[in-house]
Amino acid sequence: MLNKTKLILFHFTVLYNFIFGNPSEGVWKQFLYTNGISSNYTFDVHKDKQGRVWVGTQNGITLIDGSITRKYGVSHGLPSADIIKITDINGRLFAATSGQGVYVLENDTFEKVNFVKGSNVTTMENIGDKIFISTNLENIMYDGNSTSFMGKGFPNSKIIDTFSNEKNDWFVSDRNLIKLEENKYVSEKITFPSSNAKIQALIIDDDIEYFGTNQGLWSRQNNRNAKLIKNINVLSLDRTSNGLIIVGAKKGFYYLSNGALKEITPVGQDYLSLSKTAVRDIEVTSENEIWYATFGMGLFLHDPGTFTNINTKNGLDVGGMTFDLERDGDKVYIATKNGLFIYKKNRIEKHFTKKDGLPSNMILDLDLDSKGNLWIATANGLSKLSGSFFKNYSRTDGLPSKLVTSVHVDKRDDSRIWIGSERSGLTRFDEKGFYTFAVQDGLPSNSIRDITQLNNGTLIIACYKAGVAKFDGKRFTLYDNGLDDKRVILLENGFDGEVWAGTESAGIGVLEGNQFRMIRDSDGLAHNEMFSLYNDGKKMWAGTFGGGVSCFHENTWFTLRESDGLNSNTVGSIVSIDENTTMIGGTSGISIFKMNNQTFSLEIINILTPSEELSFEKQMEPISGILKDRFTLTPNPMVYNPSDAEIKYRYRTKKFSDPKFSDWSKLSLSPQISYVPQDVGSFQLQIQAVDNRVAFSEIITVPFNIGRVWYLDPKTAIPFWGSILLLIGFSTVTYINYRKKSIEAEKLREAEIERQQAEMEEAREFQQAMLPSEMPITDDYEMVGFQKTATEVGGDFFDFMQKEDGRWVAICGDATGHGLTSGNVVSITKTAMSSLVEEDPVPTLDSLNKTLLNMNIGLNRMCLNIASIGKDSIRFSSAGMPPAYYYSAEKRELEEILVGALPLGSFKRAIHTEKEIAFKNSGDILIMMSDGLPEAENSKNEMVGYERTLDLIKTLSDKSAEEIKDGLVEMCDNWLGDTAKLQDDMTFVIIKKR
Amino acid sequence: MSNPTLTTAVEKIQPTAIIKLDGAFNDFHAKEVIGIIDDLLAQDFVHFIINFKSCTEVNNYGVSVLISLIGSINQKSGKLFFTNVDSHLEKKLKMMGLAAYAEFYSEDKVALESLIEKH
Repeated sequence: MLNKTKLILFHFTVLYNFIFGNPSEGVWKQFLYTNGISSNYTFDVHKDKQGRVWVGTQNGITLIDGSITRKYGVSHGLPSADIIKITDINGRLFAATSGQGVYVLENDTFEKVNFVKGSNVTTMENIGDKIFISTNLENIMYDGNSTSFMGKGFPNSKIIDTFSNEKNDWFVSDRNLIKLEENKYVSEKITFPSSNAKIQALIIDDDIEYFGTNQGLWSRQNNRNAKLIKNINVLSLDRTSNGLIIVGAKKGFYYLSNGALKEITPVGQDYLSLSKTAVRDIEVTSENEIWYATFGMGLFLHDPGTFTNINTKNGLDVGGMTFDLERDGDKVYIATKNGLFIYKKNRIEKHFTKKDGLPSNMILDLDLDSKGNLWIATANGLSKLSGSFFKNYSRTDGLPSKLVTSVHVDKRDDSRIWIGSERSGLTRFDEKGFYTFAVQDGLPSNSIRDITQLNNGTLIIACYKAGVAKFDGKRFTLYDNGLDDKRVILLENGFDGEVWAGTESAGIGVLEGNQFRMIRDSDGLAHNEMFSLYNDGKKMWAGTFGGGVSCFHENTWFTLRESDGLNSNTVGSIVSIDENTTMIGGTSGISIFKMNNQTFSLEIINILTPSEELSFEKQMEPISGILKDRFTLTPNPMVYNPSDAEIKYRYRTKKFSDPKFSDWSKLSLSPQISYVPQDVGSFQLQIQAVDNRVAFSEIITVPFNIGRVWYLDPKTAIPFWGSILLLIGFSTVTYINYRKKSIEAEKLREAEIERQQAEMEEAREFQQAMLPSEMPITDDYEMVGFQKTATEVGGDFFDFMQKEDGRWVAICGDATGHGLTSGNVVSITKTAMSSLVEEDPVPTLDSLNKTLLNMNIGLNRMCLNIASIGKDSIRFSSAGMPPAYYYSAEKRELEEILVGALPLGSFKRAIHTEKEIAFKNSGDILIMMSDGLPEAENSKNEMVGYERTLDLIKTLSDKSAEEIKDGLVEMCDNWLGDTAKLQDDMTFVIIKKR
Repeated sequence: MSNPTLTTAVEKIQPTAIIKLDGAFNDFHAKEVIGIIDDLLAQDFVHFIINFKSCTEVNNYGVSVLISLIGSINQKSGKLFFTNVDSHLEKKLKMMGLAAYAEFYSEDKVALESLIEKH
């Protein structure tokens, strides 16, 4: 293996000649109308400073903005004209049309500019920090704000093309070359053999002027006559940074190689008709990004620089596999199944086979010693190449086996060579000869597949089917802890003393201390079947058996495959050429991979927060959010990879106050980055896109201010929760007080109810006490009184009072209203009555009326019947009471006796009258009653009514007074049934003549 | 005792007001009508027609209120008419002496015509 110190020194001396390119090769991609561009007929392609690609077509403009393709046409303000040139200045885009002047893109709409005269634009190019525009009327410079004329003797000619470098600016009209000399523009007519030749493109390279004309590509040097390179109609010219001149012609496109034009024929796809298609513009933006605008076949993107493949066409027939690559200065030794090759100065310089002295054409491993000797492990012994002479070693010399799998020059003593062989152990070769260590010496396995060495001299041995062994010169130590596959076939020193071990089918085991850490395809490795490992000092390369090659760089695995331009997905060898160039050997040759060190642009299309959608700005204010919010960022990488390999993304964060960012996240294919902050504070989120050509985008930084939910943020939570606690405390105290008072109030209320009930009970008892406790018993009459109250204290009452002459007065009353008030009215009436018992009914009513009026009892009044019972008659009077019923036993008739008058207590001048009823025959009956019975309502709201009462009394007329009362009560009960209740007091007074 | 609501509608035909009772004219609600009549009296309505068509109940207290109204109306030399009085209520009002202070008519229109004719 190559000494690392030498390798680093070589990085500075390596020539770009290692890379010889055929511009036909590489990876191509075609953009057609069906892929989203405006037209297949394109005129110009321009990449602006933001990394966006603009394509002028005969049907408007196409913007290829990273992953987004967008068309601009008439609806965006463009005229119906060919867009022949596009350029930008100060972030503003200008489009030149074939006959409609120049347009500028403002607010997503094109507007015609007025700073240039003339509609027919012949060219529009960036020169320095200005735009040069040539029209049919004038040639001007525009700096983004104002225009200036060329002056200094600039001819009034239509300029076709321009070229600028750090030395000068050149302009060409169809016949003349114009350049600034001694502060004055000098126009020189270029003479071509044919007078019809017109200049259509210009490029200058190393003082050689190349004129593309309608009659050939011409070159001129030192003002001599132009020399024809090839007679083709040249439409466009451009140059790569490597100095490769690319020519766009009316039919196809070419590159200039050693003074001759060679046609570019894209490989891998059927682009035959491209040789007949006009190439109107070439835009070289980098070594791996060249755009071609064609007139009929759309737009082409070509990556010629990422991979350069060397194979049998270049003299490298590896016979099916490249097993090892070893660099020595400006040459690389290539170990193959078909002998040993030497690659130097951009070509295969030498091919050694058995015919040249090699013991076998199957070369499995190489290593160089400090004297420049190349040690070669072959399938038929060991060999040493010194100059062009092979010294071979075989079993007869002491080698344990002819199949030598690995060879390693000891780092501390490069006269000592270590040899691994299949099934025959580890062999040391030095001045003493060959000495072999085998299993019986402690070697874990006799099948040795690779050997490397630590800086301290410890030998590291890949022991097939056993693991990794270390040999300190005295004893072997086996390491296999954590190693998922003990079939170790590859070894490489890591970056920090660790050892990387490639296995047959479990990826890579990294030996750190005594333990292996496995790296598999799930970690980003191309494949788990390993075939080669190589540390270039900064990056670890891992070739696989069928999965391409992976590169571990900046903590990220990249993978390159045939689809990216690699010659083979089976990679048997890798070596670094310089810091950015790596040679990769496979089944069909070698690929030279050129890493593009330039970062590409990355935009953030939008940022979705839980509440809004934000636009990204380079210097944006921190986005405010709260813990566990989800922020979704949509990046748009400005990278154009014709292989269509998907761009991946990674992100990392750091607290503003922390010195370092976290590790990058694993690569994600999703073009949306979700960020869920797990902590509070000021954060920076960094996002980077990764192109699998081992290229990174610029890093976009998005600032965040993350707080807690307001009720958890100490600033707001303490006052809030404090207030809540105070409120809860206050509420609790208030509630306790309220409950206390409520309980007290409840007790008071209950006590008051009890008191009222007691009072009511007392009043009822008092009222009941006012009723006769016993019915009068006389020889002449049966007298029965009955009362059923609807409330505790009813408004009805009855009484029997005996006059001094022994005669009886019966009264039946009903105070309006209910309850205590009516009870009081009854009491007053009864009290007053006691003094009026000797009076006749009418004077009694008059007197009671006055008494009640004087009592000012408001709306309460007293209805009253008075029956003064004489010997043979009853004098009856009423004030507001229902009719009385008189039954004449003699006539056997029941009569309703109605003496209408206002209730007592109504008006002072109330008039009362009386009726005298004959009451002399046995069986005569007088019944007085309150309205309780006639107005008793059943559940159907039907009253008993006066007629029904009358009819019942008729049926009861032959009954005793007591039986009549019972009959009336029974009827009332029947009428009410079980559901209705008596709504008013019911009172009867029944007098029956014996 | 039932406690249904009482709503009143007043139709004003100066100087007569027609008060339509809807509900129970009893201990709980009858008193409200006193306030209504007092207001109307203050507005120089002196004659009143009380329509009992939708009145579900008139108990003694209700009659007592009517007597009170009679007192107030008489002070203004006004007249009181009862309309749509069913037979039971008519009997009750008559036995309680109100027939001497109020006239009974089948409906408001007839009462109004009578009022215009007589007064």
